[in-house]
Formats: sequence, structure tokens, C-alpha cells
Amino acid sequence: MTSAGSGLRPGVRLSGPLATVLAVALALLSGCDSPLAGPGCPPACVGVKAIGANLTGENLARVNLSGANLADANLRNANLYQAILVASNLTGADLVDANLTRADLSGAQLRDANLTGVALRDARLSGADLTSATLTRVVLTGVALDASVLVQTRLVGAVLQDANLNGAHMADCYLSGANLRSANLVGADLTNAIIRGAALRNAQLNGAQLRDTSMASADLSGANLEGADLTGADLSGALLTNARLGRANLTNTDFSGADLSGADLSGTRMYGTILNGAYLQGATMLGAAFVPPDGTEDAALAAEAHFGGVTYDANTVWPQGFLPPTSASTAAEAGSR
Amino acid sequence: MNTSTNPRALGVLRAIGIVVLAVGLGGCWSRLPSGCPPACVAAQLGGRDLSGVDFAGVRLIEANLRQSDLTRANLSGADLSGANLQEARLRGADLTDARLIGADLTKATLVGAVLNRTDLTGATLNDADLTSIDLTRGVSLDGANLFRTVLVGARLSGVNLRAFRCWGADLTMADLSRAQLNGGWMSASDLHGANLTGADLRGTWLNLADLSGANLRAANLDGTWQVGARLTGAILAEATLRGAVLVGTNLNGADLRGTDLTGARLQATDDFTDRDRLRQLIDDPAINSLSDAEWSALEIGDARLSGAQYDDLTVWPRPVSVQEVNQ
Repeated sequence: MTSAGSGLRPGVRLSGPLATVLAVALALLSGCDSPLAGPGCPPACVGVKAIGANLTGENLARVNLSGANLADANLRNANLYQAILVASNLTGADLVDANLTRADLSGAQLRDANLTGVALRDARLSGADLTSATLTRVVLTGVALDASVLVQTRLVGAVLQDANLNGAHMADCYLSGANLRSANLVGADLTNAIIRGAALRNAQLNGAQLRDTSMASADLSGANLEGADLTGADLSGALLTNARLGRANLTNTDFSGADLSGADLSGTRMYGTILNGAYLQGATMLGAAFVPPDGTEDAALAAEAHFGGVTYDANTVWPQGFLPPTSASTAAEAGSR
Repeated sequence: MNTSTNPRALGVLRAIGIVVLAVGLGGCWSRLPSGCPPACVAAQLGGRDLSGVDFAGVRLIEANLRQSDLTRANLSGADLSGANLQEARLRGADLTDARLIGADLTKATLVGAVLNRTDLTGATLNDADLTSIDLTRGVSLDGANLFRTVLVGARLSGVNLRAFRCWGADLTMADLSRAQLNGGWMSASDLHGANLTGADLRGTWLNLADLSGANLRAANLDGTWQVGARLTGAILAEATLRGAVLVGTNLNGADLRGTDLTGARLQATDDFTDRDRLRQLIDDPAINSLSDAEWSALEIGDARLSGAQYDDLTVWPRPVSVQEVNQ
């Protein structure tokens, strides 16, 4: 008994420091009071200032945060279900894995915000500024995005199917592997955007600014690109079957290995266009210009179009007076693809 | 009574204390931050030793894995889309069904990695080491950039890689037989000893490429640009090179039996003496970055054909004298 008792003594002595350690650990684990504490906040937090606040995992469902300043706030895993964040400042905020289902972010400042893994079902982002924000693999179907700014936004592998992005500002946007099927991108500015391997089947891109975009291996079958500016765009290996490209500017556009079978290329400018190894079965190039008229600015800038090893068939409509080059072969000669 | 309960209470307290200390210290020393996995989205894992870690099915979207060691890690079914994997070591890692959409794998090592149905859509693999990798099992490389990628001995047989973007890549001894590579950007790449039998290379840029000793039997090279390319000792038997630009191409000792060279350009015309015009025509960084000295060393002139084998079935673009071939 005595030996047992003496054996316990160090334990008794240790209980002091142990208690301190426990108290400190508990204090750290429990966290401080919500930084949003204020009269009636939450739920009424209109215009609250919580710059750089730690709101990790906080439950802010249905909270009114209109005009709140949450710049650089940590909102990781926060529950913002149906929260009102209208005209709030979320610049540089960490919203990773946050729940923004049915949240209203209209006119919100989301510059440089990290929205990776967020749930945005039925949320509103109308007029929101998402410049340089990260939305990798985020599902944006049904999200109101009208008049939102998506310049330099990271939307890698994001789902934007049927999205209404009419006239959207999306220059330098990063959309590789994104799903943009049947999306409305009429007149959108996608200058210099990276859209490699994205799905754009049946997308409406008529009149869109696609200058210097990187769209290698993208699926644009059945897409409407009428009157679009594709100057210097990379469409190598892209699928453009039955795509409508009438009157588009294709100066220096790269269609290497692209499938343009059944595509409408009539009335296009094809100065210096690269069509090496492309499929042109049933494509219409009525009134397309391959060589810029002498003396024009284009003549000095662009070379002749390249047609090395293209495949065509009896249904391919070439511009008047154009003879397919020696390296071109008919679909029958080329055999199966 | 008290003496019997107190030790128990103290024991519990001590146990809790030890657990708290262990968690605290473990947190500092653990290879993974708390909560990851499963919550690894945008996790900061750069430079860590994660060799052999089980990340099966884990969401690692936008994770920073720069310079991390993922040797033999289990990444099957993991989502690494948009992740930064620059200089990451993925030797022997299992990437079966993994998503790497738009991931940055610049200078990463993937030697011995298992790629089954791996989605590398829009990924960047520039300068990555993929030596002996097998890319034949449903791997998607749509829109991927493979500039200067090491693909020595890689297996790409029968793979559809339309407009393959592997400028400057090392494809020495790679198996590209029956691969769809039309419209590819393969200039300045090293393909010596590669197997390209029956491959579709229509309209592919192969300027300054090294195809010496490559097997191109029955390959389709119609409309290819091979300015300054090396095809010494290459097998081009039964291959078609219609309308191909072979200016400055070295075909010494090549096998041209039954090769179709209809409309091919073998001679340097005015177009090819005007370097600026040529640079503009080719739009190739390999050409554009050449110094004047390097350019001169290329001796872009007529194609060289000494010692090339040919037969009655060889179709020449113009009458070629026996002297010219056998000089």
C-alpha cells in the first residue's frame, strides 16, 4: 500500500502542470467567442466588420451579412446556407468547402477568394466580382452569374452546363476541363482564356471574343461560333463537328488535327490558318479567304493557310478556284479514322 | 475509499494529459495536417514526405503538393484537379481512376506510376519524367501540354493523341505504333529508335526532330513539316510523305522502298533561304530561339539522300537521278 501510495505522489505533483496544460488546450480547442458578436448579431449582422476573422466551421445559416466586411476572413467549412451576403466584401476570404447553398452573393466582392469545394446550388452571384478567385471543380449549374466579373478566375473542371454567361467578362479565365455544354457565352470576352480539353458541345459563342484562347482538344461539336474572333486561338485537336463558324475571324487560328467535318466555315477569314492534319469532310468553306488581299495590313501580318495532310470528301465545299494540296487525301484514301 | 478513487481519477487525468500532449506534439510532427484526409481540399502539403500514404478517393482539389514525396502513394480515385504537383515525386504511385484536370505536374517524376483511366485533361506535364510509362489504358491527355517531357520507352501504341503537344519531348525508343498523332506539335522532339509503324502523323510539325533509326514503316506523314529533321537510317518503307516539306532533312541511309513522296519538297527554294520568312511560316519556338550560329550549323538546304534505299515502287516528287541518291 505504501509503495503504491508513494508511486502516486509524482502523479499528484504533476496534476498541477497537467491541469494548466489541459486548461490551455481546452481554451485553444473551444476557441474564442464568435468575432461577429454584436447587438443582435447573428442573425442581424448588416455591415459588420470582421476583417481577417476566424469563422472556421461557424454556423451562419440564414444570417444577414449584407455589406459586411469579411475581407481575408477564414470561413472554411462555414455553414452559410441561405445567408445574405449582398454587397459584402469577401476579398481574399477562405471559403474552402463552405456551404453557400441558396446564399445571395449579389454584388459581393470576391477578388482572390478561395471557393474550392463550395456548395453553390441555387446561389446568386449576379454582379459579383470574382476576379482571380478560385472555383476549381465547383458546380455552378443554376447559379445566377449575370453581369459577374470572371477575369482571371480559376474554374478548372468547373460545371457550368447551361450557364448564362451572355456578355460575361472572362478574359484570362482558367477553364481547362470545365463543363460548358450548351452554355450561353454570346458576346462573352474570353480573350487569352485557357479552356484546354473543356466540354463546349452545343455552346453558344456567337460574336464571342476568343482572341489567343487556348482551346486545344476542346469539344465544340455543334457549337455556334458565328462571327466570333478566334485570331491566334489554339484549337488543335479540337472537336468541331457540325460547328457553325460562318464569318468568324480565323487569322492565325490553329486547327491542327481538329475535326471540322460538317462544319460551316463560309465567309471566314483564314489568313495563316493552320489546318494541318484536320478533317474537313462535308465542311463548307464557301467564300472563305485563305490569302489576304495584297497591300492590306493583313497581307503583311499573316501568311497563307496551311493545309498539310487534310482529309476531305466529295461534300467538302472549297472556295472558288481552290485546289486541295497534294498532301490532302480523301476520306476513302485515308481509310478509317 | 478516497485512496481507491483518487488514483483512478488521477490516472484518467494523466491519460488525458498524455493524449493532449501526444496530439499537440503529433500535430507538429505528423506528415499530414489535422483533418487531412478526408478534408484535403486546398491543403498545404508542399515539400512533405507523403511516401506510401493512402489517399484513395480523397479530394485534394487545388492542394499544394509542390516538391512533395508521393512515392508509392495510393492516389486511386483521388481528385487532384488544379493541384500544384510541380517537382512532386510520384514514383510508383497508383493513379488509377484519379482526376488530375488542369493539374500542374511541371518537372514531376512519374516513373513507374500506374495510370489506368487517369484523367489528365488540360494538365501541364512540361519537363516531367514519364520514362517507360504506359499511357495505353484509357488515359485522357486532351489538351495536355507535354513540352520537353521525358517519354523514353513510353508505351503509346494505338493511342488517340490528335494534335499531340509534345514539343521538344524525349520519345527515344517510345512505342507509338498505330498512334493517332495527326496535326501534332512534335518539333525538336527526340524520336530516335522510336516505333512509329502505321502511325498517323498527317500534318504534324516535326521540324528539327530527330527520327534517326526510327521505324516509320507504313506511317502516314502526308503534309508534315520536317525542316532540318534527321531521318538517317530511318525506315520509311511503304510510308506516305505526300506534300511533306523535307527541306534540309537528312535522309542518308533511309529505307525509302515503296515510299510515296508525291509533291514533297526536297529542295531549298527562296522561301527557305529567307530565314525570317521561314520562322514566320513555321511558327516554332525551336526555330525562333535559334541563334544565327546554330541556324547556320543546321545547313537548311536541299534534302540529303546519300545511301538511301529505294525501289521501283518509290514515288519521287520529281525525277531524281540515281547519282543523286547514291553519291
